Amino acid sequence: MLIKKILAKSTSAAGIVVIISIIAALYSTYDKGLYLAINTVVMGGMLALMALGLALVFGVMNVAMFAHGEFFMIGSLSAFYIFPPIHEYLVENPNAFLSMIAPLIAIFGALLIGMIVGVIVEKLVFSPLRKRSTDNWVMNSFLLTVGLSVILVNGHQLLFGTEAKTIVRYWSGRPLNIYDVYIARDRIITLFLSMAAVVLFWLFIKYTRTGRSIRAVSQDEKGALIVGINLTGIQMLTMSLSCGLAAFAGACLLFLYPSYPTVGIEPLYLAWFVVILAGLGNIMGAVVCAFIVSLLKVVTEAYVGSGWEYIVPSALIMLMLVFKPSGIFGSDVRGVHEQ
Amino acid sequence: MTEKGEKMLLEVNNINAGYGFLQILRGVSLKIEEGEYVCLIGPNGAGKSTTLKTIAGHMNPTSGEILYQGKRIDGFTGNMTAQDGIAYISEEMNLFVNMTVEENLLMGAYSIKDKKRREDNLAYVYDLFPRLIERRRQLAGTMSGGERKMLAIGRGLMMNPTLLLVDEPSFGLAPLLTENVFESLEKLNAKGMTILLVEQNVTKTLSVTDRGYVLENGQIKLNEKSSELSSNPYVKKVFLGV
Repeated sequence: MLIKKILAKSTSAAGIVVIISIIAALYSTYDKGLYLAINTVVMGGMLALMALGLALVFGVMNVAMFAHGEFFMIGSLSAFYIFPPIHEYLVENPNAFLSMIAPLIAIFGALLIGMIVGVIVEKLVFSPLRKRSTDNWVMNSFLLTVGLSVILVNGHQLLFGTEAKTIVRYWSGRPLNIYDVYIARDRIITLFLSMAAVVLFWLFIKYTRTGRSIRAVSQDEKGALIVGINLTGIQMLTMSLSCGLAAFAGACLLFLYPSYPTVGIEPLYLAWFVVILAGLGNIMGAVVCAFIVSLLKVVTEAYVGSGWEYIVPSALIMLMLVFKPSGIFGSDVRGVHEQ
Repeated sequence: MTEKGEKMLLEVNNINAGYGFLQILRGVSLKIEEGEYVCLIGPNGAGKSTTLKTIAGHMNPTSGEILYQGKRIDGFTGNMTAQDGIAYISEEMNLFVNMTVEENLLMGAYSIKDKKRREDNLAYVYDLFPRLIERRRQLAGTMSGGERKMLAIGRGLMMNPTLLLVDEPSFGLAPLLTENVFESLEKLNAKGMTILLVEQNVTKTLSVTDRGYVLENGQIKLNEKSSELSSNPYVKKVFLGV
């Protein structure tokens, strides 16, 4: 039964793409070493968090969010201002337990700040627009997100300066040795953190009452109102979760991406690649595609040369939009009265 | 169940409503008692659907008041009226197309926290529409029009409503399926459900309902027993073409 199901799924477009990617990942790892696989997964986990938020906001609120990179930036900035003071305190008073959890405090602090920023953005930007008019909503809200992005980038520049704010590492200690490949502890731990976040989020969407109502709103807003779901509450929660996830990703990767005003542009565009590849609004497809895009980027860098890593995914996205605009995970089932 | 006509359930007083500058309802008033089966008929564009939408809270009246169980509900949003027990079955159904039939039904019981009651309601709906059991694992978006209508009504019933607002149940359905939907509404009314029905099929509607309102140009023109309405010369001329 299960094998039949897997076989049926593996002959679809999505199944073929996934299988090809797995084979490519295995071969390139065998060819170039484990480091490539680790890079793919670290990058993929981060991208998955970003893309999840984008897919969620697009699916639930119909907003094409272009300020998502700035929430990533807010996350890394928050972590930068939370972590070093604790670190300095630790240098004077060594404490094994605190030095283990200090990075976690920074990362979860950033998550919290991201969620608060999400609530503020929803209250200040989208909710007033929705009250005034929902005509031409997609275009208007898109323009608002671009404006928001400009404000946040320049706000960062004015208040915190343009220099790259970074830390050396979160977790001190020797790199871990896995089959003769040395991998920094930070990479391994952030990898697990992003995985845990993705899995928890998936369980939340799939099995909780609130998760179900988020899915309901994304499928039919009016239907959700009819069954008694508080639409404004769900919209607020969605925005908050989505910003929180981006900030979480930003904080996790502070050691790779120092915080500066426009740091969010790269994750933003990559996350959009992912969301377009997966099919707009498809939340779980976005997670799989995040790893595919990340693999594509890492493999291109390894085989074609650095500098090409954005050209190949971009070309792929353009081909995708021409030949299968609904994305590889785009669902075939569409309601008659879809907005 | 209370006897028919014992208690006022819904009272709409003089409401005005519209879209932007376009006014649709001009001082509509209606009253529905508990257990009644009332219909609202009228030509296209008269404001029948708008009346239902306004009662259900999907539109806000610009003036006037709506009393439900003695409480003012004008200005409530759609989810608030649903939690107060008003089930609204829209013309376009608004199902969750990527969820299965059963998931859709369970979403209908969203505001019911008690798991046992949810399951009882589910059994009740399956009993009313046996067709839905056969399709329980199917995605709502892949069902036929008639089945979707049943699902929409079933989802509305999942919240244990006291008032059922049904907008155009026969819209886009084959005659036989329309018959099915009407039958199930009658069954529900026989069990004591209060129903306000908006429908194009005037002959059929007047033959099953207790009382009818005729809406024209956003105003209530007539309010009589359905049997009297079907012999009313005005209704005959305008709707029945006799």
